Amino acid sequence: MSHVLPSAEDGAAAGRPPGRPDPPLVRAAWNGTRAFRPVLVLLAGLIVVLSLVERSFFSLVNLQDVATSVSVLWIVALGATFVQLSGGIDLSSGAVAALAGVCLAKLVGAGLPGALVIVIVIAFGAAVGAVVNGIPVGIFRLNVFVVTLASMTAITGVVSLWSGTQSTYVTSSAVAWLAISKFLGMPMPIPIMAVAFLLFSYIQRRTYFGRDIYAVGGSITAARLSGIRTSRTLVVVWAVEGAMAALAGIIAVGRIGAAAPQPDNTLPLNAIAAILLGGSALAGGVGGVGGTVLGVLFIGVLQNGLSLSGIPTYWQQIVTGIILVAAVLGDRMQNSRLRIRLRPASRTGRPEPASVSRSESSSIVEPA
Amino acid sequence: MAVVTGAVAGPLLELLGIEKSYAGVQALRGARLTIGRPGTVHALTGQNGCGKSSLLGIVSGQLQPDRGEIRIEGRPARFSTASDAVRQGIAMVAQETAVAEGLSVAENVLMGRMVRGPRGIDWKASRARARQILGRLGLDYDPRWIVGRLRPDQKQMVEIARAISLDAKVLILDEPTSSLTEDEVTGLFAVIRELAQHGVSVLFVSHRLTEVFEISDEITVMRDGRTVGAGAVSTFTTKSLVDVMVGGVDLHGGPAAATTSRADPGSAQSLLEVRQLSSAGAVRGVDLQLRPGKLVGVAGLVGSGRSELLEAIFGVRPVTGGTVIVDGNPLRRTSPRACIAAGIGYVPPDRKVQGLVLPMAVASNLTMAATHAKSRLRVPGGRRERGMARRLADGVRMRAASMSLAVRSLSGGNQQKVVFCKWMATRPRILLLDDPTRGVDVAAKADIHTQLRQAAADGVALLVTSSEIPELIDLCDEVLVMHRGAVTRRFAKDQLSEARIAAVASGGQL
Repeated sequence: MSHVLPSAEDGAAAGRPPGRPDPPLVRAAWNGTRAFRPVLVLLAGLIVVLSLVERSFFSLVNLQDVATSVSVLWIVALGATFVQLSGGIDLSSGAVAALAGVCLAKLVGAGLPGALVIVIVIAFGAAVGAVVNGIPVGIFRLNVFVVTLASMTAITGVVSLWSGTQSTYVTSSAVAWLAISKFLGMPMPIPIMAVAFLLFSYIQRRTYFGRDIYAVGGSITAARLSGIRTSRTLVVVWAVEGAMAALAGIIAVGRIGAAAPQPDNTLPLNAIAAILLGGSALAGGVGGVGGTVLGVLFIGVLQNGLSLSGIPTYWQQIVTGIILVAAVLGDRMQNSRLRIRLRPASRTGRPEPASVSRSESSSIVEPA
Repeated sequence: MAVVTGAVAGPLLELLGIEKSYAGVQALRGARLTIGRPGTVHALTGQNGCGKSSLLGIVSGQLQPDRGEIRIEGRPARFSTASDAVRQGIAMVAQETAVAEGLSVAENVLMGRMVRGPRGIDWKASRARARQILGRLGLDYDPRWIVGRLRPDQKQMVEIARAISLDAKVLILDEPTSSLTEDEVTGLFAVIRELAQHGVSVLFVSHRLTEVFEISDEITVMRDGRTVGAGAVSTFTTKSLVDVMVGGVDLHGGPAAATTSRADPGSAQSLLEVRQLSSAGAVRGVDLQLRPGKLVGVAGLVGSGRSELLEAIFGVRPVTGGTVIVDGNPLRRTSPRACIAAGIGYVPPDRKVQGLVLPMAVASNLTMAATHAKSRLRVPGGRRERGMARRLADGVRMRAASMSLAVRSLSGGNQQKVVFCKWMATRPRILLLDDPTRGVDVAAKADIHTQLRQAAADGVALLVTSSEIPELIDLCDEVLVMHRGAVTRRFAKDQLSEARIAAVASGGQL
């Protein structure tokens, strides 16, 4: 799933020999999906099978159900994709979402107006993401896995303490509007998901900030030597992920009508699964939100299909696990085939003599 | 260690007519090496890429020769693996230490051969055995020390102890002094002498001529994959050794290098001035001046501080003393950002990690440094930016089918051109280049040279390092030679000669 950061000029034409006319639009679009084609094919196949087997699958109500059921995962996974593109991984989004939920309940309980509370809680989420994860990772360059594992653990504790392990009912028209009202006939989370996806796609492809994220994840040293503010980029990425987790937390509260006293710590793991299914690299620098939303939809459709068919939905987890491994295996096999094909070509170039000492590279010191 | 005595059928170790090639590149074309008696210290020397590493690989069993013969005490020997060589008494300590950092000295010395008791490992006996082996090197290390906490030279000693505990007759040390301080080298040499007295022969690889003369009994010199000189140390002088190493280049008066005419020296103001620049342990009190249109070269061995000097100027490495002055104004903060703002560019030595973001598109890599200061919310890839990228790439005849291909898919030479163009896009007034042609093919190298000369003609001040001295002679108006972190000699254009630079770089006096 090697995937190039689409440059603004001719992303769909990558790999096309120069001089040939532009391919028709459909082919160009198909070429553009190369990065996440496996999950696209799987999702399409799943939808075809379900629409044949289950009459009720293709009803408008059911499709809206699928979308709203993955809304929380969708929102979190968008932010987590940026984290992963920057070379990180986020385990703490479930805890941050729950923390935002408790914060929301407390502020609404204190009598503040709902719309204001929503803004405050999203800003709070951004601050938590920046301070708890962003600064340790971006400025002190601590190991990202350790940092988010620690913040997940600690924030889970904070949620229990602050909520007193009691669910708190939230009655706020603004929160209800965000989570369960209708917009043009569809549940509100659907337009929110669409807007968030478009915004993230835009940032990813059409801003220098998006390019910085890829650069930092691809090679943080090269990025720094080129003058990019790598620490700031990382802190902002984590703030964005914190804000998205908070937004997800608000929607979750709105859908249940109460703030849960316990985080759902499988949420970040499902987000990582969706991101990987969508073709983003675990190591960073490769991938994007386009693949991620397909990964999220795959998980949602699979779950929905299984419950429609009366199969225990635990199968969704088993199938997702198997497909994740299969996707990685397929990628590996494709790469090794590619290598065999490329070998005769590389013979024409003069190979680097093996006797050249590789130990000559001097160390670039990353100051803390 | 039993001293080998009596009727030995032939020399202790003999390599004859060794040939080896990798994928069509001939690394060894008839190398030979003879260590006559036990207890000799034998230096193997030669310039970068002369085939030393390949020969060491063969003698230690890590590589198989294509042709040639290895004899031990007159009997033909064949090593198919490194452990074969060890079994026949040849042990090697590589240039980079290979120790288990988390284990104790005893466990490292006796790795896999701890003394066993009735209930598993007998720790007391193991420690005593390790202490005894270390004692043979004249070292008083506690076997319980954790190796990870030792200094680099102490780790090296632990490796040497491990090698001799395998009853080695020949101990190979590959550039053992490259990462040691002066005092540590003295300690190492004491250990080497101790070993020689116990009848262990030491094959010692070094570029540093002073060390070669200080420690060795015999010398073998290699050049272009061949053995070009061998004999007792008394048959060499510094001058004759350098002559053999570089291949009989005239010591007085350098070769006439083809150069383009440039601005008159001295007339131009200095653009960049470095005063007494130091960086902990690596760079010591370096002074230099760069003028517009001038190419200044830095020669030096690996570890001489040439790469580190460039890193210190560009703010990648912490500066512990001295100043960097651009246009007469000292840089207050040294960071890559501040340097780029001041008009400095830096082509790092490792293009794959430091120079490029491999999975990113060619166009994005090309414009990355030039656009670093733009608002992060703006849209990249405007028409001007695309035009700039395309023009730069054409200028170095860079072949990239599409500017949106990942840089990873380009050849090494083209990748290096992307790094170079990335910096030219920033319109630098000062360009620092660390080994800009390493690992690129001849044609790409020529293109890069042309570009460097063009940049100089346009008034850019350039500072270039290279592991190949002829390249510096060909390109530069002045060459500084570094040794152990300090600039030890400056050569003006008309004084440049490969032999002189090589001699000074090796720490010799000329």
